[in-house]
Amino acid sequence: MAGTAVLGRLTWRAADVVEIVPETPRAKTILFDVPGWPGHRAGQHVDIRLTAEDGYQTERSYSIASAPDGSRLALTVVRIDDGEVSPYLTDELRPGDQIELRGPVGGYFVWEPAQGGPLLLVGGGSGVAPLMAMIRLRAAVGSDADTRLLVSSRSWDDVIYRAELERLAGGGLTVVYTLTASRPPGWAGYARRVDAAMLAEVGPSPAEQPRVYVCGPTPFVEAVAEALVTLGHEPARIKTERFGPTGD
Amino acid sequence: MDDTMLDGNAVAGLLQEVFATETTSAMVSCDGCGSASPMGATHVYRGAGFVLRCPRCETALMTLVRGDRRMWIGFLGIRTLQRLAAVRGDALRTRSLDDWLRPVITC
Amino acid sequence: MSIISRGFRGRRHEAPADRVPPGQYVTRDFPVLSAGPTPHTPLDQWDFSIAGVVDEPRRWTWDELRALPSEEVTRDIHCVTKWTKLDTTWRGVSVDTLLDGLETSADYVVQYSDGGYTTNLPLEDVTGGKAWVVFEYDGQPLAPAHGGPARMLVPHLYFWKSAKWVRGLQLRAEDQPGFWEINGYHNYGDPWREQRYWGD
Repeated sequence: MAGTAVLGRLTWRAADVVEIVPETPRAKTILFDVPGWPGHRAGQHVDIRLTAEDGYQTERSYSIASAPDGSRLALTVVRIDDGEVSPYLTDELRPGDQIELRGPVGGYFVWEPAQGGPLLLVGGGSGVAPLMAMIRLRAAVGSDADTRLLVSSRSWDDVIYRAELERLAGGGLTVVYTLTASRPPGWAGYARRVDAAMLAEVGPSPAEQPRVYVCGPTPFVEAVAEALVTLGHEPARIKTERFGPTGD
Repeated sequence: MDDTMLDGNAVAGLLQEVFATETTSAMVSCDGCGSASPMGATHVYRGAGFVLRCPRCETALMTLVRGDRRMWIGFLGIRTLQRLAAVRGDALRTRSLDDWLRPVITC
Repeated sequence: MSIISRGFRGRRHEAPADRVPPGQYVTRDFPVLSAGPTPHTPLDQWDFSIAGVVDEPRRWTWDELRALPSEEVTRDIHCVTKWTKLDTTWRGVSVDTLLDGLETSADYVVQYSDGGYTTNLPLEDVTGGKAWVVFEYDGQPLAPAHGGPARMLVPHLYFWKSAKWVRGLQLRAEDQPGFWEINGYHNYGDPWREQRYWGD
Protein backbone atom coordinates (compact mmCIF):
# COMPACT_ATOMS: atom_id res chain seq x y z
CA MET A 1 0.00 0.00 0.00
CA ALA A 2 1.61 3.23 -1.10
CA GLY A 3 2.39 5.58 1.74
CA THR A 4 0.40 8.72 1.42
CA ALA A 5 2.82 10.56 3.62
CA VAL A 6 2.19 14.23 4.02
CA LEU A 7 5.54 15.58 2.99
CA GLY A 8 5.50 18.74 4.96
CA ARG A 9 7.86 19.49 7.79
CA LEU A 10 10.24 16.63 8.29
CA THR A 11 10.12 15.06 11.70
CA TRP A 12 12.66 13.02 13.54
CA ARG A 13 11.50 9.46 13.95
CA ALA A 14 12.72 6.64 16.12
CA ALA A 15 14.42 3.90 14.11
CA ASP A 16 14.91 0.46 15.65
CA VAL A 17 18.07 -1.42 14.80
CA VAL A 18 16.96 -4.84 13.57
CA GLU A 19 20.18 -6.33 12.31
CA ILE A 20 23.77 -5.40 11.59
CA VAL A 21 25.37 -7.21 8.69
CA PRO A 22 29.11 -7.06 7.99
CA GLU A 23 29.70 -6.38 4.32
CA THR A 24 33.46 -5.94 4.10
CA PRO A 25 36.23 -5.56 6.70
CA ARG A 26 35.33 -1.88 7.02
CA ALA A 27 31.67 -1.69 6.06
CA LYS A 28 28.48 -2.83 7.69
CA THR A 29 24.87 -2.61 6.66
CA ILE A 30 22.46 -1.60 9.37
CA LEU A 31 18.89 -2.71 8.88
CA PHE A 32 16.30 -0.50 10.56
CA ASP A 33 12.63 -0.79 11.20
CA VAL A 34 10.98 2.63 11.26
CA PRO A 35 7.39 2.63 12.44
CA GLY A 36 5.35 4.87 10.19
CA TRP A 37 7.95 4.93 7.43
CA PRO A 38 6.25 6.44 4.36
CA GLY A 39 8.37 4.59 1.84
CA HIS A 40 11.16 6.05 -0.24
CA ARG A 41 12.57 6.38 -3.74
CA ALA A 42 15.83 4.87 -4.89
CA GLY A 43 18.63 7.36 -4.38
CA GLN A 44 17.12 9.20 -1.44
CA HIS A 45 18.88 9.48 1.88
CA VAL A 46 18.12 10.00 5.53
CA ASP A 47 19.60 12.35 8.10
CA ILE A 48 20.45 10.59 11.35
CA ARG A 49 20.91 12.30 14.68
CA LEU A 50 22.89 11.02 17.62
CA THR A 51 22.53 12.48 21.10
CA ALA A 52 24.95 11.85 23.94
CA GLU A 53 23.75 11.71 27.53
CA ASP A 54 24.88 15.26 28.19
CA GLY A 55 22.87 16.56 25.26
CA TYR A 56 25.69 16.80 22.73
CA GLN A 57 24.24 16.14 19.29
CA THR A 58 25.55 15.52 15.86
CA GLU A 59 23.91 14.71 12.56
CA ARG A 60 24.99 12.85 9.45
CA SER A 61 23.38 11.90 6.17
CA TYR A 62 23.37 8.35 4.82
CA SER A 63 21.99 7.10 1.55
CA ILE A 64 19.31 4.46 1.75
CA ALA A 65 20.80 1.32 0.22
CA SER A 66 17.63 -0.73 0.07
CA ALA A 67 14.65 -0.72 -2.26
CA PRO A 68 11.35 0.29 -0.63
CA ASP A 69 10.24 -2.44 1.74
CA GLY A 70 7.44 -1.43 4.08
CA SER A 71 8.88 0.03 7.25
CA ARG A 72 12.36 -1.36 6.65
CA LEU A 73 15.37 0.45 5.36
CA ALA A 74 19.06 -0.32 5.17
CA LEU A 75 22.03 2.01 5.49
CA THR A 76 25.58 0.96 4.70
CA VAL A 77 28.29 2.58 6.80
CA VAL A 78 32.00 2.52 6.05
CA ARG A 79 34.07 2.89 9.20
CA ILE A 80 36.40 5.88 9.07
CA ASP A 81 39.04 5.28 11.72
CA ASP A 82 39.05 8.69 13.35
CA GLY A 83 35.45 9.44 12.46
CA GLU A 84 33.02 10.60 15.09
CA VAL A 85 29.92 8.78 13.90
CA SER A 86 30.90 5.84 11.70
CA PRO A 87 32.84 3.95 14.40
CA TYR A 88 29.84 4.34 16.69
CA LEU A 89 27.50 2.91 14.07
CA THR A 90 29.77 0.04 13.08
CA ASP A 91 31.25 -0.87 16.46
CA GLU A 92 28.79 0.12 19.15
CA LEU A 93 25.26 -0.12 17.75
CA ARG A 94 23.37 -3.31 18.54
CA PRO A 95 20.04 -4.82 17.48
CA GLY A 96 17.40 -3.34 19.75
CA ASP A 97 19.05 0.09 19.92
CA GLN A 98 17.21 3.12 18.69
CA ILE A 99 18.50 6.15 16.84
CA GLU A 100 16.71 9.13 15.38
CA LEU A 101 16.42 9.67 11.70
CA ARG A 102 14.39 11.80 9.37
CA GLY A 103 13.52 11.36 5.77
CA PRO A 104 13.43 10.26 3.14
CA VAL A 105 15.05 13.32 1.68
CA GLY A 106 16.20 14.21 -1.77
CA GLY A 107 14.32 14.20 -5.04
CA TYR A 108 17.09 15.10 -7.42
CA PHE A 109 19.42 12.13 -7.13
CA VAL A 110 16.65 9.62 -7.70
CA TRP A 111 15.90 6.91 -10.26
CA GLU A 112 12.40 5.69 -10.92
CA PRO A 113 11.78 2.51 -12.92
CA ALA A 114 9.38 4.41 -15.15
CA GLN A 115 12.37 6.44 -16.33
CA GLY A 116 13.98 3.29 -17.72
CA GLY A 117 17.49 3.31 -19.12
CA PRO A 118 20.08 3.23 -20.38
CA LEU A 119 21.66 3.86 -17.02
CA LEU A 120 25.27 4.44 -16.10
CA LEU A 121 25.92 4.21 -12.38
CA VAL A 122 29.41 5.08 -11.12
CA GLY A 123 30.20 4.60 -7.46
CA GLY A 124 33.35 5.13 -5.43
CA GLY A 125 33.65 3.35 -2.09
CA SER A 126 30.50 3.90 -0.03
CA GLY A 127 29.07 5.84 -2.98
CA VAL A 128 27.64 2.58 -4.24
CA ALA A 129 24.97 2.67 -1.53
CA PRO A 130 22.33 4.83 -3.29
CA LEU A 131 23.19 3.11 -6.59
CA MET A 132 22.49 -0.22 -4.91
CA ALA A 133 19.03 1.02 -3.96
CA MET A 134 18.45 1.71 -7.64
CA ILE A 135 19.75 -1.71 -8.65
CA ARG A 136 17.69 -3.48 -6.01
CA LEU A 137 14.55 -1.62 -7.04
CA ARG A 138 15.25 -2.43 -10.68
CA ALA A 139 15.48 -6.09 -9.76
CA ALA A 140 12.39 -6.01 -7.57
CA VAL A 141 10.20 -4.61 -10.33
CA GLY A 142 11.70 -6.87 -12.99
CA SER A 143 13.05 -4.02 -15.09
CA ASP A 144 15.38 -5.00 -17.92
CA ALA A 145 16.66 -1.44 -18.48
CA ASP A 146 20.23 -1.41 -19.83
CA THR A 147 22.20 -0.66 -16.68
CA ARG A 148 25.95 -0.45 -16.30
CA LEU A 149 27.39 -0.19 -12.80
CA LEU A 150 31.03 0.82 -12.50
CA VAL A 151 32.40 0.35 -9.01
CA SER A 152 35.67 1.85 -7.90
CA SER A 153 37.11 0.24 -4.81
CA ARG A 154 40.50 0.02 -3.15
CA SER A 155 40.55 -3.77 -3.23
CA TRP A 156 38.39 -6.78 -3.96
CA ASP A 157 37.74 -7.25 -0.25
CA ASP A 158 36.41 -3.70 0.00
CA VAL A 159 33.79 -4.11 -2.70
CA ILE A 160 30.45 -3.75 -0.94
CA TYR A 161 27.54 -5.98 -2.03
CA ARG A 162 29.87 -8.10 -4.13
CA ALA A 163 28.00 -11.39 -3.83
CA GLU A 164 24.63 -9.81 -4.47
CA LEU A 165 25.90 -7.92 -7.51
CA GLU A 166 27.22 -11.14 -8.97
CA ARG A 167 23.83 -12.72 -8.46
CA LEU A 168 21.95 -9.81 -10.01
CA ALA A 169 24.23 -9.34 -13.01
CA GLY A 170 22.65 -10.28 -16.31
CA GLY A 171 19.22 -9.41 -17.70
CA GLY A 172 20.53 -6.05 -18.81
CA LEU A 173 22.70 -5.34 -15.75
CA THR A 174 26.46 -5.23 -16.26
CA VAL A 175 28.78 -4.78 -13.28
CA VAL A 176 32.37 -3.66 -13.80
CA TYR A 177 34.95 -3.18 -11.08
CA THR A 178 38.12 -1.17 -10.90
CA LEU A 179 40.45 -1.90 -8.01
CA THR A 180 42.74 0.98 -7.29
CA ALA A 181 45.06 -0.12 -4.48
CA SER A 182 45.44 -3.88 -4.65
CA ARG A 183 44.23 -6.73 -6.82
CA PRO A 184 43.67 -10.44 -6.18
CA PRO A 185 46.05 -12.79 -8.02
CA GLY A 186 45.05 -13.23 -11.64
CA TRP A 187 42.90 -10.08 -11.71
CA ALA A 188 42.24 -9.18 -15.32
CA GLY A 189 39.97 -6.21 -14.74
CA TYR A 190 40.61 -2.50 -14.40
CA ALA A 191 43.25 -1.49 -11.91
CA ARG A 192 43.27 2.29 -11.95
CA ARG A 193 41.20 5.32 -11.08
CA VAL A 194 38.13 5.84 -13.19
CA ASP A 195 39.00 7.90 -16.26
CA ALA A 196 37.51 8.86 -19.60
CA ALA A 197 38.91 5.82 -21.43
CA MET A 198 37.38 3.45 -18.88
CA LEU A 199 34.03 5.24 -19.00
CA ALA A 200 34.04 5.09 -22.79
CA GLU A 201 34.66 1.33 -22.66
CA VAL A 202 32.05 0.65 -20.00
CA GLY A 203 29.55 2.83 -21.85
CA PRO A 204 26.79 3.52 -22.81
CA SER A 205 27.92 6.10 -25.36
CA PRO A 206 26.72 9.70 -25.15
CA ALA A 207 24.67 9.10 -28.30
CA GLU A 208 22.53 6.63 -26.36
CA GLN A 209 21.74 9.42 -23.90
CA PRO A 210 22.06 7.45 -20.69
CA ARG A 211 20.98 8.78 -17.34
CA VAL A 212 24.15 8.95 -15.31
CA TYR A 213 24.43 8.83 -11.52
CA VAL A 214 27.81 9.37 -9.87
CA CYS A 215 28.30 9.02 -6.15
CA GLY A 216 31.21 8.90 -3.73
CA PRO A 217 33.85 11.15 -2.20
CA THR A 218 33.92 14.63 -3.66
CA PRO A 219 37.27 14.30 -5.50
CA PHE A 220 36.06 11.04 -7.08
CA VAL A 221 32.80 12.58 -8.23
CA GLU A 222 34.59 15.65 -9.61
CA ALA A 223 36.99 13.55 -11.66
CA VAL A 224 34.30 11.23 -13.01
CA ALA A 225 31.85 14.02 -13.87
CA GLU A 226 34.57 15.93 -15.68
CA ALA A 227 35.61 12.83 -17.61
CA LEU A 228 32.01 12.16 -18.63
CA VAL A 229 31.59 15.69 -19.92
CA THR A 230 34.78 15.48 -21.96
CA LEU A 231 33.44 12.26 -23.49
CA GLY A 232 30.40 14.18 -24.65
CA HIS A 233 27.79 13.23 -22.07
CA GLU A 234 25.31 16.02 -21.49
CA PRO A 235 25.91 17.68 -18.12
CA ALA A 236 22.17 17.85 -17.50
CA ARG A 237 21.95 14.06 -17.68
CA ILE A 238 24.67 13.56 -15.10
CA LYS A 239 23.50 13.61 -11.51
CA THR A 240 26.05 13.69 -8.76
CA GLU A 241 26.04 13.04 -5.06
CA ARG A 242 29.24 14.13 -3.36
CA PHE A 243 29.97 12.65 0.02
CA GLY A 244 32.60 15.19 1.10
CA PRO A 245 36.35 14.74 1.38
CA THR A 246 36.49 11.28 2.92
CA GLY A 247 33.10 10.02 1.93
CA ASP A 248 32.17 9.85 5.64
CA MET B 1 36.40 22.61 -6.97
CA ASP B 2 37.15 21.77 -3.35
CA ASP B 3 37.45 18.44 -1.59
CA THR B 4 34.93 19.53 1.00
CA MET B 5 32.30 20.77 -1.42
CA LEU B 6 28.96 18.97 -1.49
CA ASP B 7 25.89 19.07 -3.70
CA GLY B 8 22.51 20.54 -2.89
CA ASN B 9 21.46 16.95 -2.04
CA ALA B 10 23.47 17.20 1.13
CA VAL B 11 21.12 19.87 2.48
CA ALA B 12 17.94 18.22 1.20
CA GLY B 13 16.67 17.76 4.75
CA LEU B 14 17.40 21.37 5.67
CA LEU B 15 15.73 22.64 2.49
CA GLN B 16 12.71 20.55 3.26
CA GLU B 17 12.59 22.13 6.73
CA VAL B 18 12.60 25.53 5.08
CA PHE B 19 10.24 25.01 2.18
CA ALA B 20 8.08 22.29 3.73
CA THR B 21 8.51 20.19 0.63
CA GLU B 22 11.16 18.34 -1.35
CA THR B 23 13.26 21.07 -2.93
CA THR B 24 16.32 19.43 -4.46
CA SER B 25 14.48 18.92 -7.74
CA ALA B 26 13.33 22.55 -7.90
CA MET B 27 15.09 24.65 -10.54
CA VAL B 28 16.88 27.74 -9.33
CA SER B 29 18.08 30.47 -11.66
CA CYS B 30 21.15 32.48 -10.81
CA ASP B 31 21.21 36.24 -10.54
CA GLY B 32 24.86 36.21 -11.51
CA CYS B 33 24.88 34.31 -14.79
CA GLY B 34 21.20 33.63 -15.42
CA SER B 35 21.62 29.88 -15.81
CA ALA B 36 19.21 27.46 -14.16
CA SER B 37 20.14 24.35 -12.18
CA PRO B 38 18.31 21.90 -9.97
CA MET B 39 18.81 22.79 -6.30
CA GLY B 40 20.30 19.34 -5.86
CA ALA B 41 23.09 20.27 -8.26
CA THR B 42 24.12 23.48 -6.54
CA HIS B 43 27.56 23.64 -5.00
CA VAL B 44 27.22 23.53 -1.25
CA TYR B 45 29.88 24.88 1.07
CA ARG B 46 29.83 24.49 4.76
CA GLY B 47 31.06 27.54 6.64
CA ALA B 48 29.51 29.03 9.76
CA GLY B 49 26.32 28.10 7.88
CA PHE B 50 25.63 26.51 4.52
CA VAL B 51 26.19 28.46 1.31
CA LEU B 52 24.58 27.20 -1.88
CA ARG B 53 26.32 28.47 -4.99
CA CYS B 54 25.54 28.37 -8.68
CA PRO B 55 27.34 25.38 -10.21
CA ARG B 56 28.16 27.44 -13.32
CA CYS B 57 29.54 30.67 -11.87
CA GLU B 58 29.78 30.09 -8.08
CA THR B 59 27.61 33.11 -7.31
CA ALA B 60 26.15 32.64 -3.83
CA LEU B 61 22.47 31.78 -4.31
CA MET B 62 21.38 31.34 -0.73
CA THR B 63 22.60 30.74 2.77
CA LEU B 64 21.08 28.47 5.40
CA VAL B 65 21.80 29.06 9.06
CA ARG B 66 20.18 26.98 11.72
CA GLY B 67 20.16 28.48 15.19
CA ASP B 68 18.89 26.69 18.23
CA ARG B 69 15.27 27.62 17.63
CA ARG B 70 15.44 29.77 14.56
CA MET B 71 16.53 29.38 11.01
CA TRP B 72 17.72 31.99 8.53
CA ILE B 73 17.43 31.71 4.81
CA GLY B 74 19.53 34.31 3.03
CA PHE B 75 18.35 34.90 -0.54
CA LEU B 76 21.50 36.29 -2.06
CA GLY B 77 21.49 35.46 -5.73
CA ILE B 78 18.35 33.52 -6.57
CA ARG B 79 16.53 35.12 -9.42
CA THR B 80 13.70 32.60 -9.57
CA LEU B 81 12.87 29.28 -8.01
CA GLN B 82 10.69 26.92 -10.01
CA ARG B 83 9.09 23.86 -8.56
CA LEU B 84 6.13 21.64 -9.35
CA ALA B 85 2.92 22.90 -7.87
CA ALA B 86 1.46 20.32 -5.47
CA VAL B 87 -1.23 18.35 -7.30
CA ARG B 88 -3.72 16.32 -5.25
CA GLY B 89 -0.88 15.47 -2.86
CA ASP B 90 0.23 12.72 -5.30
CA ALA B 91 3.21 14.69 -6.57
CA LEU B 92 4.62 14.71 -3.06
CA ARG B 93 3.89 11.11 -2.30
CA THR B 94 6.80 8.80 -1.76
CA ARG B 95 6.88 5.38 -3.25
CA SER B 96 6.52 1.87 -2.06
CA LEU B 97 7.33 -1.23 -4.03
CA ASP B 98 3.65 -1.83 -4.84
CA ASP B 99 3.54 1.31 -6.95
CA TRP B 100 6.10 -0.20 -9.27
CA LEU B 101 4.89 -3.77 -9.28
CA ARG B 102 1.35 -3.01 -10.36
CA PRO B 103 2.04 -1.89 -13.97
CA VAL B 104 4.70 -4.58 -14.47
CA ILE B 105 2.42 -7.49 -13.52
CA THR B 106 0.17 -6.82 -16.48
CA CYS B 107 3.00 -7.43 -18.99
CA MET C 1 12.82 15.41 23.43
CA SER C 2 15.62 13.67 21.49
CA ILE C 3 16.32 10.01 21.91
CA ILE C 4 19.61 9.39 23.67
CA SER C 5 21.85 7.19 21.57
CA ARG C 6 23.06 4.51 23.93
CA GLY C 7 26.82 4.54 24.19
CA PHE C 8 27.38 7.57 21.98
CA ARG C 9 29.90 10.06 23.31
CA GLY C 10 31.07 11.94 20.28
CA ARG C 11 34.70 12.77 19.94
CA ARG C 12 35.12 15.51 22.46
CA HIS C 13 37.92 16.33 24.79
CA GLU C 14 37.96 17.52 28.35
CA ALA C 15 39.29 20.97 29.14
CA PRO C 16 39.20 23.41 32.07
CA ALA C 17 35.85 25.20 32.10
CA ASP C 18 37.43 28.62 32.03
CA ARG C 19 38.94 27.82 28.64
CA VAL C 20 35.69 26.66 27.03
CA PRO C 21 32.95 29.20 26.27
CA PRO C 22 29.34 28.16 26.88
CA GLY C 23 27.95 25.65 24.40
CA GLN C 24 31.33 24.77 22.94
CA TYR C 25 33.09 21.40 22.62
CA VAL C 26 36.83 20.96 22.47
CA THR C 27 38.27 19.32 19.38
CA ARG C 28 41.79 18.23 18.45
CA ASP C 29 40.99 18.44 14.74
CA PHE C 30 41.02 21.58 12.69
CA PRO C 31 37.78 21.46 10.70
CA VAL C 32 37.85 23.15 7.33
CA LEU C 33 34.89 25.46 6.95
CA SER C 34 34.38 28.00 4.21
CA ALA C 35 31.67 29.97 2.52
CA GLY C 36 32.93 29.29 -0.98
CA PRO C 37 35.60 27.75 -3.16
CA THR C 38 39.23 28.15 -2.13
CA PRO C 39 40.77 31.08 -3.99
CA HIS C 40 44.27 30.72 -5.41
CA THR C 41 45.75 34.16 -5.84
CA PRO C 42 49.40 33.92 -6.89
CA LEU C 43 51.68 35.64 -4.42
CA ASP C 44 53.03 38.00 -7.05
CA GLN C 45 49.50 39.31 -7.54
CA TRP C 46 48.59 39.34 -3.86
CA ASP C 47 48.41 42.50 -1.82
CA PHE C 48 46.90 43.70 1.43
CA SER C 49 45.28 47.12 1.67
CA ILE C 50 43.99 49.43 4.32
CA ALA C 51 41.57 51.95 2.92
CA GLY C 52 38.38 53.83 3.67
CA VAL C 53 38.19 56.64 6.20
CA VAL C 54 41.95 57.17 6.35
CA ASP C 55 44.19 60.10 5.47
CA GLU C 56 46.07 57.92 3.08
CA PRO C 57 45.41 54.32 2.07
CA ARG C 58 48.15 51.77 2.61
CA ARG C 59 49.11 48.77 0.60
CA TRP C 60 51.65 45.99 1.01
CA THR C 61 52.76 43.39 -1.47
CA TRP C 62 53.41 39.89 -0.14
CA ASP C 63 57.11 40.58 0.23
CA GLU C 64 56.44 43.89 1.93
CA LEU C 65 54.04 42.28 4.39
CA ARG C 66 56.55 39.55 5.19
CA ALA C 67 59.21 42.18 5.80
CA LEU C 68 57.17 43.74 8.60
CA PRO C 69 57.84 42.70 12.19
CA SER C 70 55.82 39.56 12.90
CA GLU C 71 55.18 37.58 16.04
CA GLU C 72 54.17 34.11 17.13
CA VAL C 73 50.76 34.05 18.73
CA THR C 74 49.14 31.17 20.65
CA ARG C 75 45.45 31.43 21.31
CA ASP C 76 42.29 29.40 21.73
CA ILE C 77 39.83 29.69 18.84
CA HIS C 78 36.09 29.25 18.97
CA CYS C 79 33.90 28.45 15.99
CA VAL C 80 30.21 29.27 16.13
CA THR C 81 29.51 25.73 14.91
CA LYS C 82 30.44 24.73 18.46
CA TRP C 83 34.00 23.50 18.24
CA THR C 84 36.81 25.09 20.22
CA LYS C 85 40.47 24.42 19.60
CA LEU C 86 42.91 25.22 22.36
CA ASP C 87 46.41 26.62 22.03
CA THR C 88 46.53 27.20 18.30
CA THR C 89 49.81 28.72 17.19
CA TRP C 90 50.14 31.26 14.43
CA ARG C 91 52.66 33.72 13.08
CA GLY C 92 51.59 37.06 11.69
CA VAL C 93 51.70 40.81 11.70
CA SER C 94 49.72 42.64 14.36
CA VAL C 95 47.04 44.93 13.00
CA ASP C 96 48.51 47.55 15.34
CA THR C 97 51.66 47.42 13.22
CA LEU C 98 49.64 47.86 10.04
CA LEU C 99 47.73 50.80 11.49
CA ASP C 100 50.75 52.39 13.16
CA GLY C 101 50.73 56.13 12.58
CA LEU C 102 47.51 56.00 10.59
CA GLU C 103 45.09 58.86 11.18
CA THR C 104 41.48 57.84 11.13
CA SER C 105 38.15 58.83 12.56
CA ALA C 106 36.71 55.44 11.72
CA ASP C 107 34.95 53.46 14.42
CA TYR C 108 34.38 50.32 12.36
CA VAL C 109 36.23 48.01 10.09
CA VAL C 110 35.23 45.52 7.41
CA GLN C 111 37.59 42.67 6.51
CA TYR C 112 37.29 41.66 2.88
CA SER C 113 38.62 38.59 1.16
CA ASP C 114 39.25 36.95 -2.17
CA GLY C 115 35.98 35.31 -3.17
CA GLY C 116 33.87 38.13 -1.76
CA TYR C 117 33.61 37.20 1.92
CA THR C 118 33.30 40.08 4.38
CA THR C 119 32.98 40.41 8.12
CA ASN C 120 32.64 43.53 10.26
CA LEU C 121 33.87 44.63 13.67
CA PRO C 122 34.39 47.74 15.73
CA LEU C 123 37.86 49.16 15.06
CA GLU C 124 38.73 48.78 18.75
CA ASP C 125 38.33 45.01 18.35
CA VAL C 126 41.26 44.80 15.95
CA THR C 127 43.58 47.12 17.85
CA GLY C 128 45.38 46.93 21.15
CA GLY C 129 46.94 43.54 20.51
CA LYS C 130 43.71 41.77 19.60
CA ALA C 131 44.17 40.99 15.90
CA TRP C 132 46.74 39.83 13.39
CA VAL C 133 47.15 39.11 9.72
CA VAL C 134 48.60 35.62 9.98
CA PHE C 135 50.46 33.58 7.36
CA GLU C 136 51.69 30.60 9.35
CA TYR C 137 49.83 28.01 11.36
CA ASP C 138 51.62 25.57 13.64
CA GLY C 139 54.99 26.55 12.22
CA GLN C 140 54.02 25.93 8.58
CA PRO C 141 52.86 28.28 5.82
CA LEU C 142 49.12 28.65 6.11
CA ALA C 143 47.42 26.09 3.85
CA PRO C 144 44.93 27.40 1.27
CA ALA C 145 42.14 25.33 2.82
CA HIS C 146 42.71 27.16 6.11
CA GLY C 147 42.84 30.59 4.53
CA GLY C 148 46.33 30.79 3.09
CA PRO C 149 48.34 32.68 2.05
CA ALA C 150 47.03 34.96 4.81
CA ARG C 151 43.95 35.28 6.98
CA MET C 152 42.84 37.40 9.89
CA LEU C 153 43.16 36.14 13.44
CA VAL C 154 40.79 37.80 15.90
CA PRO C 155 40.56 35.10 18.56
CA HIS C 156 38.46 36.89 21.16
CA LEU C 157 35.44 36.62 18.86
CA TYR C 158 33.88 33.64 17.09
CA PHE C 159 36.10 32.53 14.28
CA TRP C 160 33.87 33.71 11.44
CA LYS C 161 35.15 37.14 12.45
CA SER C 162 38.63 36.07 11.28
CA ALA C 163 38.36 36.21 7.52
CA LYS C 164 40.19 33.60 5.48
CA TRP C 165 41.98 34.74 2.32
CA VAL C 166 41.90 38.31 3.62
CA ARG C 167 43.00 41.04 1.23
CA GLY C 168 42.33 44.14 3.24
CA LEU C 169 40.56 46.21 5.84
CA GLN C 170 38.13 48.95 5.07
CA LEU C 171 37.89 51.53 7.82
CA ARG C 172 34.41 53.03 8.11
CA ALA C 173 32.51 55.63 10.06
CA GLU C 174 29.42 53.43 10.03
CA ASP C 175 29.12 49.75 10.75
CA GLN C 176 28.34 47.51 7.79
CA PRO C 177 27.26 43.93 8.49
CA GLY C 178 29.25 41.33 6.60
CA PHE C 179 28.37 38.07 4.90
CA TRP C 180 27.24 36.03 7.90
CA GLU C 181 26.02 39.02 9.93
CA ILE C 182 23.50 39.73 7.19
CA ASN C 183 22.38 36.11 7.09
CA GLY C 184 21.63 35.29 10.70
CA TYR C 185 24.78 35.51 12.74
CA HIS C 186 25.32 38.01 15.52
CA ASN C 187 26.76 41.38 14.65
CA TYR C 188 29.46 41.22 17.35
CA GLY C 189 30.04 37.55 18.15
CA ASP C 190 31.47 37.28 21.68
CA PRO C 191 31.75 33.56 22.48
CA TRP C 192 31.79 34.21 26.22
CA ARG C 193 28.35 35.78 26.02
CA GLU C 194 27.32 33.13 23.47
CA GLN C 195 26.44 35.73 20.85
CA ARG C 196 25.91 33.34 17.98
CA TYR C 197 22.78 34.59 16.21
CA TRP C 198 20.74 37.74 15.75
CA GLY C 199 19.38 39.04 18.98
CA ASP C 200 21.45 36.79 21.24
